[in-house]
Amino acid sequence: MSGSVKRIDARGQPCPQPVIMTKKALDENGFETLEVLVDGPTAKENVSRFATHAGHAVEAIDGADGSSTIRIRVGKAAGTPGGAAPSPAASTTEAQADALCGASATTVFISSDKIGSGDDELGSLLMRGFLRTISESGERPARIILMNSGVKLALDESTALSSLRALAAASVEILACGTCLDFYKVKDKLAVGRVSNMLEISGFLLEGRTLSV
Amino acid sequence: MAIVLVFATIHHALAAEKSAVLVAAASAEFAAGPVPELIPLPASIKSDCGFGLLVERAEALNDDRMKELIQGGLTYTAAYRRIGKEHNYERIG
Repeated sequence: MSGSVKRIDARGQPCPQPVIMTKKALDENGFETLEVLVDGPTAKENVSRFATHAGHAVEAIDGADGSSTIRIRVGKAAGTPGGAAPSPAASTTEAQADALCGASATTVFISSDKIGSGDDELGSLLMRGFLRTISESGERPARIILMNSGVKLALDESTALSSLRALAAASVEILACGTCLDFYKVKDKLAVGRVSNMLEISGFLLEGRTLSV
Repeated sequence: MAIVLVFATIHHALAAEKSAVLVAAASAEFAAGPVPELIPLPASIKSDCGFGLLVERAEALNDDRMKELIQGGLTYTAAYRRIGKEHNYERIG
């Protein structure tokens, strides 16, 4: 079946159906590429994120009518010639897919490496405690956005690094502001998550429920 | 295996963390475990402070010896042993 393509149409499907349809399609074998047609940025983001975490190469092509085609090359994650082994996200359940869209799809926006103003030592401890608590909680956000000095939490010397790594391992997306990493000259020390930009970050902040810490 | 020490105030807890980090760095008996750190206390541990000092240690180190090592002149108000990896604690001192 070399070069074969399977196509599914998830337009008009409420969240999390596009992710569930993608997962079910990927569970079937016999094709090299899966193309998922979606309408809307949320479905595009969720399907792309799910497939990437599952170890596949993903390319999103935007159509003129607002729809997008997500092309998923099965088991061909970038940088892994033989294909990446599926991550734990490959076994995403329907409940987890539902969490991408439902009440749990919260963005946590962190704009400082401390909580509140006042004593810095206390503020640092509170931030560390907050991240540790949500990393051990059953109700995790969909993503955490780090801006300004908040990016320092994701650096290799951060005392909050283990909590952020635990969250990332639980499929919580960690986004660090690239401008901020540049400003503090610490881009090479980012130890968890990925670099993001204002366009993507503002999109997430405007799209759903945001908790600002 | 881990022990959690509870202090009267957050100021005591912060000072204890600094002390414990130094003690652990200088002690081979703590080499197997992560650096001691303050963690949010679960609801089952009553404390106004809200944070406790978590110290992991080697299996061979008993609780009394561990407390002796990490006390470092600081006075904790209670000590708990963590049972399993969940938030289950048993008071030991």
